[in-house]
This record gives sequence, structure tokens and C-alpha cells, in this order.
Amino acid sequence: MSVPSPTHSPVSDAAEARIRALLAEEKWRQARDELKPLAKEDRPRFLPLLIEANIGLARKMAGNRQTSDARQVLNYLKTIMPAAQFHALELELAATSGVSEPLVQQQVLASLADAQSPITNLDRVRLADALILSFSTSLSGQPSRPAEAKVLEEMRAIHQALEAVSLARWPQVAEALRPVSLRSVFGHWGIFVKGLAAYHCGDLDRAVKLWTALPSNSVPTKASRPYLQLVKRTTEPIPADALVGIFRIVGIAGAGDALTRAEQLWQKGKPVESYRQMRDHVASFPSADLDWIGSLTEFYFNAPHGMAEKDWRDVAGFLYELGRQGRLKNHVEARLSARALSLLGRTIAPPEDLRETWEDFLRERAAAFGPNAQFTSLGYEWLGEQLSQSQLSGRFSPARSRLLDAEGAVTALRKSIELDPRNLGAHLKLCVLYETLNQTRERNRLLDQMTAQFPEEQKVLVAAARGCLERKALSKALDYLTRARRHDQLDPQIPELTVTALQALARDQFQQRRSDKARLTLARCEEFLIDDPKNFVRSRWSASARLAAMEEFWGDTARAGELLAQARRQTPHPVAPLLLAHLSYRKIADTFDGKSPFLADLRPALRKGLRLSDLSLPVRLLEEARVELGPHGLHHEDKWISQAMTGASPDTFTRAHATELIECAANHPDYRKPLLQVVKKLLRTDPKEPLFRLWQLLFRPPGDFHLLSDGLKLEDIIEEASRRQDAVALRLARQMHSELNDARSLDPFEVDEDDGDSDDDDFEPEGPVPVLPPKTLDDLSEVVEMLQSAVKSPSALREVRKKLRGKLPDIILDGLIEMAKSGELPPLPQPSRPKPGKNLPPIDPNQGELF
Amino acid sequence: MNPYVVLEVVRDADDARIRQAYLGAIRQATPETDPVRFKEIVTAYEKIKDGPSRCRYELFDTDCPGDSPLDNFLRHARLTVRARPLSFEAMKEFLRASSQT
Repeated sequence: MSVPSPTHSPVSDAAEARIRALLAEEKWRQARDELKPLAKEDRPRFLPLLIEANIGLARKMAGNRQTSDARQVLNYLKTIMPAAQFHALELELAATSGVSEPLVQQQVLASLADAQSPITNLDRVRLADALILSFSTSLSGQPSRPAEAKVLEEMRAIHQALEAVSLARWPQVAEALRPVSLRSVFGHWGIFVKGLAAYHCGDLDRAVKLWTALPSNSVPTKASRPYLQLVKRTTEPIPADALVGIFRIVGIAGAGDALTRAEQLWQKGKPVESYRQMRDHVASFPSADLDWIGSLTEFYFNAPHGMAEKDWRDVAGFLYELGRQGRLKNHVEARLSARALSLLGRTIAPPEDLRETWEDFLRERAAAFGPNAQFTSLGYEWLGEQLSQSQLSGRFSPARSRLLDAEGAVTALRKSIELDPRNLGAHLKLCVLYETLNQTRERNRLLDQMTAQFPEEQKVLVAAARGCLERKALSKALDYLTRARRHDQLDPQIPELTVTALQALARDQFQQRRSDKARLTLARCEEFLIDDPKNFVRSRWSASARLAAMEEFWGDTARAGELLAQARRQTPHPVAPLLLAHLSYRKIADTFDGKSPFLADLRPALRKGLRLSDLSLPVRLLEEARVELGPHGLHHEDKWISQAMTGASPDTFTRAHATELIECAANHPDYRKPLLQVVKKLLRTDPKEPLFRLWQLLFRPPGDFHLLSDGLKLEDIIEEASRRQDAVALRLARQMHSELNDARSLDPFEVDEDDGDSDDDDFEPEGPVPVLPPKTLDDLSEVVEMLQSAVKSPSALREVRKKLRGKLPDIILDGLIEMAKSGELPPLPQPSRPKPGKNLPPIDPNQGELF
Repeated sequence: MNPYVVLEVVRDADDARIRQAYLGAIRQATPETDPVRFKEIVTAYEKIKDGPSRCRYELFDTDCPGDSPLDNFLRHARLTVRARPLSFEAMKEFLRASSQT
């Protein structure tokens, strides 16, 4: 059995591994102490490690200005290191510790200048680097040997070139580098400096080319690494040493650790902890300066706007708590928190909290940068816009006209105009708001003011034209539209409104028995007509059909027939021209019996068997006519279309057709039954289709609500919609889920969840579109008030029940009535939704995905 | 990125100064030579080109400058380091520190 040699003994292998670990951890002293005896035993194996440990120790001491200790280590190193390598180290440490050692530098200079010197190329590079890094001023004298003088001249050239780079004096850089040839011992420094100049001048390709040509392990190579990382626009992780280099370039070596930790926390999905890391460890963070801290501040306050809801709620909750506890770090944090909380919480905040938080932001901003009327005006314009949003914004929700805070919105928009009378946006928004609130007089007064103040503003002219159309001031409307068109030839509203105004004018002229003039007026429409068959305002067929109705009633019936035939030729749709002519005639004749001369052709056409894809246009025509004829004026037409829908063939019927049809027809009770059939048909081919499953839920009879089972179904639909990346279904499902949660929070009873698995497919819906329970405290207050006032009279109670039927789930309505009878109406529950601003409750991180 | 940093103008710079900076920047980074930087400059200019734009930027801008804190820092460094060379003293410190790595 042979005895293993010392170099291969397991004991020494383990020792080497341990020492290498110590060296990696920069535990130089410990490594050196362990290495000393080992180097005596196995010199070839452990001497290089001993040198490495001593070099590390010496560098550390020199860096800590422990000059005499470093000198002792150097003295020892001198006995074990090659001479050239030692000189380089000696010079490097002299430079690091700030001690100029002319003697050493002279020796190095001599070594570099001596072409016969036995030192290796690597050592020459090392010596050259050390000489440059000394930035020596002590070598000012003129050396006696020309070779040394040459080296000294080149060293000074590099220093001058570096200084010229610092001062951004690019021509001087080239000039300074002239004496440094590529073969010079400082050639690699010349390349590095040229790369720096190219980088700062924007020639990145040249910079990269130069830097990548540098010899490995030289100081310029190491110094160029962080710059190369800055040039690269890759998403690959940056090596740690290059990152440290970048921190040094930016001058944040001290804050680099905090940033690294903040990055790690961010990558772990902990945005709040990441922000806290920066906040707690960087004194000037957050900041509004244009430095890296300001940039990072902007990042942290803008990032939540792109986060998933749960994450931004975490951030908002943290910021809210800071404000509530009075722990905001500085005014920048106060200002940006208020801004972020307002912008993030605009869709969920109660109006008073939104207003308060947003005004905090505006105040903080004015305190920081001084008052700015334009800025504050835009701020109040935004507030007005938010407060004028519909409280119930669901597509299938009732009472869409209820605004979040109509009065507050008007006040905010008026304040915005007062602060900056040139703020056009605020004027336009206030105009729309008045229109929504049916405050016609205020709207008209504002429009007059706007047309005087912004006489050539296209949006104002269009709004004024719309107002004139409503007031039947048709010539004035046409004048505004002509002016608006001069400013914008592409806005589709303008030709649309022009056609409407001209047709209304022609109708008036027909009425006044000025048929020829009316025809001339209608001829003016021609230039605005288009071939889009789905546009029933500007399409050629719709113009012909409307004119046919006018001719039929006031003019020439033969001509009416020709026009109708022309309309039917102009569109492939089988019934749209007939239906439009019929509806136009009914509007003109003001009939309530649903009759017109066009019925004779319309009824057979409807019975002929339409395709489902043909039905959305007639439904849209009816919705349009409903505005003028009233909700009950279209009873017959609704019935015919509903029958046509039931018997329609699903040929060529796509998801897009279904979506269009259902969106048009969903709000009308007559269409629910056939629509449910359509949905069922579609679900047979794709039972998991999320949007159709949602509609299936929506088209159920009123009162058929199961908070738990519907919630589960909606969660399943949300999951499926996410999987299919169906944004429309996802938005609608989340909205319904939110409404369902609101219903839960307002439910005065503990509703027995899911008392049987309802099979939706078996339902034959009747009555109005099902709606979710009231979503706001005000809604429930109204219900309770109605019940309280009606409870003494059974007939009044019956009336209330009738009124509320379909607006509340039956189980809730019956329960409330019983409680009203026994005088035990429940106290009103508090709304549970979180608020931004000062009253924002802390966010429960366990809240899950629900709103 | 912060448009003031992209265009290298101070926060209270007026329209003329901002336009001057914008024209100077796109002269250096044309769509052909540096399309990414060109787009960045145009976007920045749109955000602060006049008073109302600057107000809207400060009121409503929610563009996130980066994918993570470090990414944001690097984007900022890419803009500012290139624009402003290190001072001579900072350069000496940087080079000496680089030799230690």
C-alpha cells in the first residue's frame, strides 16, 4: 500500500478548500495564518495562496490607511514574491494609501523603460497600471535616460487625457493621447480613454469596440466593465462587480447596498418592503430632485398604477397608514402619497375622501413650488370629472344617471373655470355635466359663454351645434357645424350632426308644404353620406329610407316607393330600410297604434326568417327610436323583433355578432327570452365560454340570486376569462363580482347561501332584466324610507312591493317588508369599501382577490 | 424616464429652453442612429413641451420609469453618466477602486 504524497492527501485537499473559501470571503489574516505552515510543507501548492492572502491583507491595510502595518506585510511579501510583481504592488499600495513614494515610482519607471528587463508582459501591464494610478506629481524632474523620459511623457499624456475627459474637452483628449502609441506600455490606457470619449460623445459602437479590445485583467479592462454594462440594453442580470462599478460611477457607493436589497425585495414581490428599505436607509429618499433618488422616487410612486389590484392596495394601505400616523418622512412623500392615493382610489373612494386627498395634493404642490392657477385649474377639472362619474357604472346596471357627487362635480368644475378661464376642458366637462343633470338653462348659458370665449374651437362649436339641435335652432346649428368642419374635416361627429340637422330642417320644410325646398335641403346631405351599411345616420340607405317616409307623409307617394326601393338596393340588410322608414313615418305621423304604410312589406320580411347576425341593426334602430317614441311606443315592433329572434337561423353567427346583439338588446325585457336561447345555443358548442356564461347569469329571472353560488360561478368565470385572456368578459365578471360583494355587505339578513343548486338552463325568464341588489347606502336608505312610510297602509305597501319588485332580490324584499310590518327594520349597515386619503382603512392583506 | 432628465433641462425651464434641448437631443440621436433614444426623447418632449403639458405630467403621469428599482437606477445611470463625465478626482477614485476588484 503506497503512501499518498502530501500534494494529494485528503487532509491538504480539505485545507486548500477551506483556505480558498476564506480567500473568497476576504478573510485574509485568517487565511494567511493557516497558510504559513502549509506553505512550508508544500511550497508549490500553497505559496501562491500565501502571496494572495498577504496581498489582500496589505491592500486592506493600505485602504484603511494602516501604512506601517501594510509596510510590514510588504516587507514579508518582498521575500516571497517575484520582483516585478512586487514593485507593481508596492506602487499600487503607495497610491492607495495616499503616500507618494518617489523611490518606488522611479524604480517602476526604470523597469518599464528597460527593454531588456526580465519582467513578463503581464507584470509590465501591472506596473504601467500602478504608475498611472499613482497620479504622481513627484516624478516631475526630467529623467536622465531618454527611454524613461518617454515613459514619463506617455504617463503624463494619459493623465492629461483623463482630465480632458472629465472636463468634456474632446479635442484635447485626442491631442493629449497623440504621444501614446498602441505599442506603448500605456497603449491599453490610450484605448480606454478613447473609449470613454466615444461613450460620452454618443458613439457607443466605437466605445464598445475599443473597450472589448483591452487586455484582460488590466485596470482599464476592469474600469470599462461597468461602462460596458451601461451601454448594453439587455435584461440580463449585471455581474456584481460591474454593478458596484456603476454605483461608484454614479457616486452612490454607500447607498448601493440599500438599492441592492430593495431590488431583491421587489423581485420577491414585496413592493412595500422594497420602498421601506430605500426610505429607511437613504436619508434623502424620497426626493423630487432630478438625480437617481428622484428618479427612484418617481418609480415607486408610479409603479402601483401598473400593479395587480392586491399589490397596489398594499402600497396604498402603507402610504395611508404613514399619513394617518403622521409618519410621512418629508413633504415630497406627503405630496406624492396624496397624489397616488387619489389616482389609485378614484374608482373606489367615497367622493368626500377623494376630494380631501386630492386637495391635500394640490396644497402640498402649491407649498413646494408656489401657486400655479393653471395647474390647480387642471387639478379641479380632474376632480370634477371624477365626481361626475356614474355611481353604478355596470353595463347592465340600472339608474346609470346617478352621479358620484353631482353637486361637488359642478363646484369643482366651476372652480376650475374660475381659476383658469381659458381651461377649455373644464368648460366642456361642465357642459356635459349640465346636460346629464338636465340643467338645460345652465348648459345653454355656458354654451353661449363658450362660443363667445372660444369662437373657433371645434369642440365648442360641435357642443353648441348639439345644443342648437336640441332647441330646434337648426340654421344656427348648421352654421356652427360648418365652422367646426373648417377646423376639423375628420371628426365623424360633424357630418353626422350635419345630416341630422339637414334632415330635421327638411322635415320642417315639408311640414310647411315647401316640398321642393325640403328636397333641396336633403340633397345637401349627399356630400356627407357614406356606404357603411351599419351607420344608420349617414348611410345612403338610411337617408333614402327617411326621405321615403317624408315623401310618403307629405309629398309624393310614388316617389316614396321609388326611394324605398332605392334604399333596399343600397343595403344588403333584408329589413333595416323598411323598419327605418316605418319608424320614421311613425315619428312624423305621431301615431301610437304602431301602423304605417310600410308595414305591408315589413311584416312579411320579418317573418321570412332572418339570420341572428342580421338582428343587431334592427334592435339598434328600435333603441334609437325609443328615445323619441317613448318606452311603450314600440310594443308591437319589439314583439315582432323578439319573434324574429326566436326563429332566427344561427348561420354565420359569430361571437362578435352575439356580443353586438346582446349588448344592444340586453336591457330590454322582451328580448331576454330569445337572447337566453341564443346564449344556450352558443354554450352548447363551447360550454366554458366566459362571456356567454355571464350573460346566462344576467338573463335569469329577477330575485333568483344566490350570493354564494353566484359568487363561485363568477370566480370560475373570472378564472376562465383570465385563462383565455378575454378582457371584455374579465372586466364584466369582475364588475359583477364586485356588485355581488356590495350586495353581501348590504344584505341585512344572513342569507342562507345556495339552498339548492339552481340549474340555470332550465329557467324560462320573464319580466324585466334582473338587477343586483342596491349597491349603495343611499339605495338601501331609500328602500327603508319607502317601506317605513308605506307600512301603515296595506295598499301603499302593495304599491311599494310592486315598485321594488325586480329591483331587489325577492328574499331581501320580503324580509324587509316583514321587518317593516313588525317595526324591526334593520339599522343601516356601513359601507365596507376602502377609501383612499385620510379615511382609508388599512388594507387586509388576507382579503384575497376580491375587490 | 423623467422627461427633465431625458432632455437634460431643469424643472423650471421655459418652453424655449425645452425646445432647444429637444432639438439638440434629436440631432444627436436620430431615428436612424439611435431609434430607442429618439423615441425616448420625443416622448419626453411631448410631456413637458408647454405649460399645460407640464401641469398634466405632474398631475396625472403614471408611466413607470423601469421594471424594478435597479432597472430604474440603470436607466437613470445610462442617461446621466453618458451626459456628464466624472470629475477628475472622482475618476481617480473610480480607477483606484476598479483596480481592487
